Amino acid sequence: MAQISLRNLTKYYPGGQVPAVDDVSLDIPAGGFLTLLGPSGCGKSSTLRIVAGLSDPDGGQVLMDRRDVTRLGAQKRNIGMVFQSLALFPHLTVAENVAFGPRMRGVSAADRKARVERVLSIVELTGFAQRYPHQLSGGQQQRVALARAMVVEPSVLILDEPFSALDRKLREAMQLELYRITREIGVTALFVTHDQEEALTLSDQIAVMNHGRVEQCGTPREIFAAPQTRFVAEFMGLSNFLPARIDDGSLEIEGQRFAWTGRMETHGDCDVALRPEGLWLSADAPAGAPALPGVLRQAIYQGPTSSYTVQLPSGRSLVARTAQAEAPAAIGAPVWLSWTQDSLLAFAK
Amino acid sequence: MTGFTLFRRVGAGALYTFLLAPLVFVIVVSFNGGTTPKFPPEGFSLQWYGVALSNPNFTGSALTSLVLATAATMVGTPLGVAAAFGIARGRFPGKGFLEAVFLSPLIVPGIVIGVALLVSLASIGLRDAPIRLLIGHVLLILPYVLRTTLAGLASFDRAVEEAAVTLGAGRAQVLWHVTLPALRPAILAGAAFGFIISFDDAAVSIFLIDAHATTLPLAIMSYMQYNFDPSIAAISSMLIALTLAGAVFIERGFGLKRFLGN
Repeated sequence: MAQISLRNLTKYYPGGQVPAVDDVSLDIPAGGFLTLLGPSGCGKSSTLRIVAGLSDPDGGQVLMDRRDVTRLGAQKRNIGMVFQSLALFPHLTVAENVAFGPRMRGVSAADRKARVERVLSIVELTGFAQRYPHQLSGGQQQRVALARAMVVEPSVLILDEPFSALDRKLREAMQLELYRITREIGVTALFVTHDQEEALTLSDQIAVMNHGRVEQCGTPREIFAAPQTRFVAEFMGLSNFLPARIDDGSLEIEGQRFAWTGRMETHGDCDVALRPEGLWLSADAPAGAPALPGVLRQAIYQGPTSSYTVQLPSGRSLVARTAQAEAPAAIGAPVWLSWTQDSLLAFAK
Repeated sequence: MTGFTLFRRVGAGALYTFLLAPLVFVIVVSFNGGTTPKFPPEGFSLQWYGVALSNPNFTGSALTSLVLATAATMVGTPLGVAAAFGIARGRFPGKGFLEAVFLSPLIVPGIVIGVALLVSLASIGLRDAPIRLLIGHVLLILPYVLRTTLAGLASFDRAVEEAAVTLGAGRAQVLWHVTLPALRPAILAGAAFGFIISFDDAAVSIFLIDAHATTLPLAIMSYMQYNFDPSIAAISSMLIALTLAGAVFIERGFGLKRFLGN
C-alpha cells in the first residue's frame, strides 16, 4: 500500500471551455479509504482515471509514496482497478481472470496458483475458479473483479462506481464486504460514487466534488454534520433551506430575529438549512427555544417517525421529521416549529 | 387454436416447404436407381455418388475449390480484421466511405467484379489463374469478415482493455491476450461465412479460371451443359451437407441471428 497525493490536477477535454477537473489536490494516507463523491459530470471519474494512468492531466501531479508517477503509463503504476462495467475477460475462467495480472507481471505459474487461491478465498469464491464470468451472478462477478484487482497487491485499489448495477440489497451486502476486505488486507483505496450513503458507509475520508472542484474533504462525520457549502449540504440529503441574514450576532429568518452563535464571522445574506430530524412541533410558542410560526399542511405517519409539512407566513414550506406520532394540531391549524441549535446550518451565498 | 394461429402455422409451413422442398428433392433424386433425375426415384442406389466421386473433373475441381477457399479465407480474414479495427477505432475522415468500399463486393454483381478483375489484372500482366482466383476470392471474403468483426467490436467493452492495461499488459499483450480472443467468435463466424461464399462462387470465378484450374461450381455447370444424370444431384447433396456443417459451426460459435442481424 502506498500514500497517494494529488497536486493541483487539472484536465480539459477537447473542445471543453471549462475544466473537467479543476485544481484538485487531495491526500490519501497509506491504508486509507478516500471516496470521491458527487453528481455525474462533477469530475470524479476523470480524476480517478488520471490517478489510474488511463488519462493524462493537463496540469498537476500524481504522487505515490512521494514519487511522481504523473507521466507513468497505467501498466507500470501497480494499481488494481474495479470498473463500473466490471470489465471481466469474457473468454477466461474466474481463475484465469484473477491470474491475468500476476501473469503479465511475470509471476511464476506455481506462485500464481497460490495467490489466486488465496484471493479467491478472501472473496469467498473458492469453488468457482473454473467457471466463466457469464456463468456467475452479478454479486459473484463483482467479487471476481475485486479479486482480480487485489491479487496484484496494488499500491492503490481504484473503484469506479463498482456497485451501481446491483440491486439495493446486494449493493449493501457488497459494501460491507468491501469494507471488511479493504481493512483486512490493508490497502489504500480510492472509490468513486454518486451515492452518499455508500460514501458514508465505506470511507475514512470523503471528498465532495462539483464542477471539477473539491467542495469539501473530510471524515464522513464532518461532511454530514458540518457541510461547508450549500452544495455539500444538499448533496448529503439536507433540505429545508431558507434565505436568512446574519448581523452582529443575530440571525434573521422570515422576519424574525434569533441569537446567532454559530461559526461564520461574515455578515450579510446567507442560506440556512434546518435538519428535518432536529425540528419539533408544538401548538403554542415554546419557551427558551427558537421557533417559527406556521400552518400545518400535511401529516404523514411513517412508523418510528412522522413527517409534517408546515407552511410559513412567507409561503415557504419546511418538513419536520419527528418522533411525534400524533400531530399537536389539526391540519390547517397554526403550529410552532422549534429547533435545536445544532440542527441549524448557515451557508454563505 | 384460434383462426389466426392456424393461419400463421399454415403460412409458415408453406414458406418452409417452398424453401426446403427443392433441397429435399435433390437429396432424394441423388439416391436414384435410374439414369435420369426423375421423381419419384426408380429404386434406391448409391451409384451416382460413385459416378460423381470417380469423375476427375469433379474431384479435381473440388480440390481446387477447397484449396482456394482455404487460402482465400486465410488471407482475407486477417485483412478483414485489420480493416475492421481501422474503421472502428481509427480517427480519420472518410471512415464511412472506406467501410462502404470494403463492403461493396456484397452489392456489386459478381459478373461486374469478375470482368473488372480480369481486365485490370491482365493490364498489369497478371494472367496466372490461381493468383487471379485468390485475389478475386479474397475480395469476396473480406466484407463478411469485416462485418462480423465490426459487430464484435461494437459490442466489445473498451474497459476490458483498460482493465488489462491496469493489470500490467502492454499494447501488444492486450491485443493478443484480450481483444482478439474476445472477438474470436465474431472473426470465426465471418471466416466460415466467407469460406462458404468462396466455395460456392461461380459468377466471379468464371472470368478468372483457365483450362487447368477450374472450381467445383463451374465444373458442375459445364458438366450439366452436356449431361443430365443424377450425379449432379449427388454432388449437390454433398455440398448441402458441407454448407449445413458450416452453418452449424457459425451457430455454435457466434449465433446466426447475431451475424445476420447486424
